[in-house]
Amino acid sequence: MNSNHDHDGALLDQIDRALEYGIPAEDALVNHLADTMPQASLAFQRDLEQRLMAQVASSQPRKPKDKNIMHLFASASAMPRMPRSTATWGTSWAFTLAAVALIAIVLLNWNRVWLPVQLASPPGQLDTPVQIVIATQDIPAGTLITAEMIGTITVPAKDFAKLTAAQPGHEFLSDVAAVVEQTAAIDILWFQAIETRLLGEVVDACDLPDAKCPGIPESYYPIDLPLQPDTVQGLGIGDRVDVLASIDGELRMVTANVLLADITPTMVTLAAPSWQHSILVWLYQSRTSYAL
Amino acid sequence: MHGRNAEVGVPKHVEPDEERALIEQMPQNPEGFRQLYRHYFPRMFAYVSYRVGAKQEVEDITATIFMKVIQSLGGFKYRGEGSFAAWVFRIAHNEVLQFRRSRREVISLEDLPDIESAGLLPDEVFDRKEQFMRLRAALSKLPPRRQEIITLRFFGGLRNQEIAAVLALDERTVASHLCRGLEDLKRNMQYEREEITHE
Repeated sequence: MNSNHDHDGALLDQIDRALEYGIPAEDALVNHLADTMPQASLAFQRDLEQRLMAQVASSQPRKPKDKNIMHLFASASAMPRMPRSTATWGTSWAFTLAAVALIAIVLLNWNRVWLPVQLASPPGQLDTPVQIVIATQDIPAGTLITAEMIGTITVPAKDFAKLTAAQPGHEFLSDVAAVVEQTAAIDILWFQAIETRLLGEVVDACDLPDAKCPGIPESYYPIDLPLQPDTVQGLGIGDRVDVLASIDGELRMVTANVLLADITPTMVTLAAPSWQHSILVWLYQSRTSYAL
Repeated sequence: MHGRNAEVGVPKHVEPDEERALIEQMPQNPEGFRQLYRHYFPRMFAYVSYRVGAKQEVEDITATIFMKVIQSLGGFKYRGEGSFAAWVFRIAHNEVLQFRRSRREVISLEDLPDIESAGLLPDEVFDRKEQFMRLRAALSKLPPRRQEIITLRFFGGLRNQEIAAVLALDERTVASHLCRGLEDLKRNMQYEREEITHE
């Protein structure tokens, strides 16, 4: 018994030394095991790291004045896209943040923001608050939506009414029951308002009727900025640009090497990884003058 | 020979105190996850490789494990050194179990991941891969618990105490299984015969 115990102790010591300090063991099998270490390709390791960091960034509790608002107000083409899989910090986080966002929405002056979704409020009931269904977590395309994934927010109908003309044809949902057990047709983002066109068979987001898909790389997040005079002079879609903003009266670079994804007569679409996207969200919200 | 912090890709060693800070500050500093990922990735990949086998599936499961780590991180409670490693590998253990229940194993040499082989000739690289295949085959003949303990110790880089936490066992039981498992493995691989020949 003692000899067996001693043998085990010696073997365990050898294993510890081999694995912790790389000291060859007397036992050939220990060395053999320690030497036969499968290794991932660097490309896979780095690609996964990029995807995970995008996931971490999108899972972070965000301040109401940042992405929460963007998710609700961005157009289909400007909607930040999710990485391949989804993640949350837990349902409790989502509901806590839903409450925070609701307060933020009420506090914000809705007249100043552009909400490109059709309103559920019928004519003649402008004093009645409107309830809309939103995603309380990222919902990847193809997911069967459960009650835990969605919630509702209520906003003044008169504010909705001012926004209905922005993008006709979007059917905005107010009843949670109408969404539960439906399938997400495309990736639905945390705090994105649920519309009928987002439900059903999985489709490419670019196939949606009014989508503009300029070829945003996976894990990049697009954002539309208003086109300013001379903003894109000499530039074309696909160019990499530096973004400069007027800060304290000086033109300073705020982020570099951002993809110029689309240009329309009124908007310019930029796409960037999440950390740069946050800067662009700030630029959008602060309405600071910018140059490319 | 490699140590538990073997250099694969771009690993980053994280000290226990630093690990705790990175976890606790994650809501304010999501970039900290990158360090944790780089610290755990090589071990996780090696562990999953032995338990799963085919490279494509190893990659998919490794990715899923890290995604689940992100999803569940908000609920993790730090309980001292090694608690995070044990928690991460418990997720991995469950994921691998789920995979193994649903798949039958027929894996060719070409499907296996590569083995650390810096500075080796192509023939030697091939030999190392074959060595991995034989080792994996021998491991797969052990009782499931011993397979798990050996892979967690050697490839997951977990200490016995951490393995005990992953598998809900007593640390002495883990040590005992580890020693008996190596003896079984040695028999499976006919190491004793090799050693006798050398003598």
